[in-house]
Amino acid sequence: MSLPEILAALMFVCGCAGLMAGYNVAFTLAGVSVIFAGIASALGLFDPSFFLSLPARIYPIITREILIAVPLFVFMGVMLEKSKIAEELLQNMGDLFGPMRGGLGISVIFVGALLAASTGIVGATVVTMGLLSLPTMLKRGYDIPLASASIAASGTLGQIIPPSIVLVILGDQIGNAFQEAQRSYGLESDAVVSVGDLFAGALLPGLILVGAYALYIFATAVLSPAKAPAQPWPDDTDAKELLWRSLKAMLPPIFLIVAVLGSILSGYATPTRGAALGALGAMLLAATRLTPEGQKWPLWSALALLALVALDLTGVDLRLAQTEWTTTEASAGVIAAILVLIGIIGTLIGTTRLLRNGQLGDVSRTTMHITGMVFVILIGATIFSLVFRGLGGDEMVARLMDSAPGGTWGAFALVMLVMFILGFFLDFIEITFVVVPLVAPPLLAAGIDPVWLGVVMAINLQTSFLTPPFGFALFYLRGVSPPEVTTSHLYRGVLPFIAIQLAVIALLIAFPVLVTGLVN
Amino acid sequence: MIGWVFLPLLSLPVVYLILPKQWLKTIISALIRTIDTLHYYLGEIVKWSLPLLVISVAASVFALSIFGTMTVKWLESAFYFQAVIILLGAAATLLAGQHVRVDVFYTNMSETARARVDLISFYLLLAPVCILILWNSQSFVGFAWNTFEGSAESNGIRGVFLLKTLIPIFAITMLLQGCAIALRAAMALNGEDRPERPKGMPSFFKGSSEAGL
Repeated sequence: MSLPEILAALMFVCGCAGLMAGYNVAFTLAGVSVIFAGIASALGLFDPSFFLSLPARIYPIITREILIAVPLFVFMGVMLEKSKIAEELLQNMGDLFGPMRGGLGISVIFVGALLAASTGIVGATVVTMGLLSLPTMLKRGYDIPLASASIAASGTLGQIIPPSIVLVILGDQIGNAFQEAQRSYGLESDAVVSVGDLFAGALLPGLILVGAYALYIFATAVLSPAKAPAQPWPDDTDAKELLWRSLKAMLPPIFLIVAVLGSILSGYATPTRGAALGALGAMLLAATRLTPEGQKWPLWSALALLALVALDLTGVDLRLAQTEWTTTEASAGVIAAILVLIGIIGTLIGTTRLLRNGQLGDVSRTTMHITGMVFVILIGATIFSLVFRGLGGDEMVARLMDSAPGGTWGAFALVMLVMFILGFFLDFIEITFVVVPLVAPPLLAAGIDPVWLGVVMAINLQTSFLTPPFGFALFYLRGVSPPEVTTSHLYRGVLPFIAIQLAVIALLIAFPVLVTGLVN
Repeated sequence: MIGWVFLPLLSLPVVYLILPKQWLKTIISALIRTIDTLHYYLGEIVKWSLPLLVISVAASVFALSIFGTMTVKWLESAFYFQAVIILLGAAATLLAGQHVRVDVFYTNMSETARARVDLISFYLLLAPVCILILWNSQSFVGFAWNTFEGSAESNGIRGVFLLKTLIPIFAITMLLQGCAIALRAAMALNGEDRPERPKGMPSFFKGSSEAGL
């Protein structure tokens, strides 16, 4: 190893150690690298004029089309959460499936998978889910290890189920790494990897995980009913009324997520546009809840906009620029104009309601905080990578992976192990921004499928967040759980979930088609 | 050049730590309040870009994919909303303590230790990074202003130079907010009460005094 490379390695170690001190992540990463750049340029090993390109590297981050999906998805998730739509969904599912053994537990897994998707920050998701559902589960007599672990697990699950911001970020980074592999590592391919591809690839593995979790809870409930007791419907409820109430709470958010995902996977909308439709939909749903009975303008507006999309999907040519309007097209145009009008009026009314109620401001503030946090880390990680590369660290990593025993698969195993360990200390976003650009290009150049690599990395990290004693999710859940839940409860409960995770990773390695099958 | 203007301000936390004089405390309290209030309201204004972003992008989907009509200016507006949220909202995020920390050890530290981490890290990490960004963006932004750089598209928004100017502004606001937090840390280390925070903001280093601000 040459001197600059030793500095680069030291910088990586110091960066990780510095993060432990607890200062904010973005500036720790950037600051440590600036210190090392200073040392290196004092030794004449680093050219400080390298930093002149810094603003030119920050600028594309804030103006990249695909990354606009991040604030939009966060907005959607925060809106669903703050308007209590998520809470109601969980409550109603819990009531409805209560009489089934393990029903409440399965509802938690399901809601976690569905709604955690759009926020995608381990801490936030686990905390919300913990506050929302842990007290209820304990009240109904669920076994403490089972209840707490299923919440921790489902809180992390949302990360790999599309549409999640984690997949947006990872997809963007993998896409860049794939181009880098073609450019600098001589990979012969002119394919591009998009965020939509990663969504498609993650769909099946995500569903398999949800299914496996639910199956585990169901099996536990059947084998030892005391651990996940069934709870009959309250005496005075009318089955039909309960069913209707549950459906009313369940269908809109489920439909929203499915519609967003569908529009992206089918290629109707780019991830950014799909996210915007999702955010608008969440706004209209939240506004509908605020509206008194009888005046459901926001709901009509949402339906009108849906009808508009449906009309478009029939293939009618509604382009305003055309000169020849057939009768069908003209009448469809009139209908479309009316729908647009309803959509606009409903959106205006809905926005006003949310504005008066203060919800829009709150949701916007929280979304701004999360967005700011994500992107400042991205800026910090950019500075870190700039210095790391300036010192030749990327070549060192590539060489290290080259010399790993067992060739490509040895290197792959090494990368997975390192990411797993980093997952004890760092959140998804930091690891994605710092590690993926370094390790992915050589792996991809060796012929590993980019989408498959992204999905396996995501599940690997998710497992890491669940693994004692350092797992992120466990820490956060411990912070919000009632005192009777101890750390050892959590550790015991989470082991089966880790086993499920590892089994699914093994499954994906054995059958890569589970990931690649749906792509394109 | 710009860096020198900040020097007296940046040295204040350390000066106060060494010289905890009453008159200095008055100045510092006023300074913290000013910076906090400034960034709080900046954040409160900037956050409205988000609903605008949602509606702007959603509207463009309908207009573009159904009616096949859209202006480049409208499409480009999304970048402006996005940039404003990130670069101007970052200081408000720092003020609200929402930039993520690795809190494996931080949560278990004493309040004094946390204040120490924040004070030292400001000088070692945050300030150098912000000054570096500020320093290196001079020519970048200068070039953009020379030509009043606009969009690469002929009928796009002619405001790329403004967009690029947000980068040094980001560095300045982060530097100021980081400094305000370091000043609070210095006050905490001297065992004093800190000025009140804007409403809804969580407190830093609470517990070392009754007021806990």
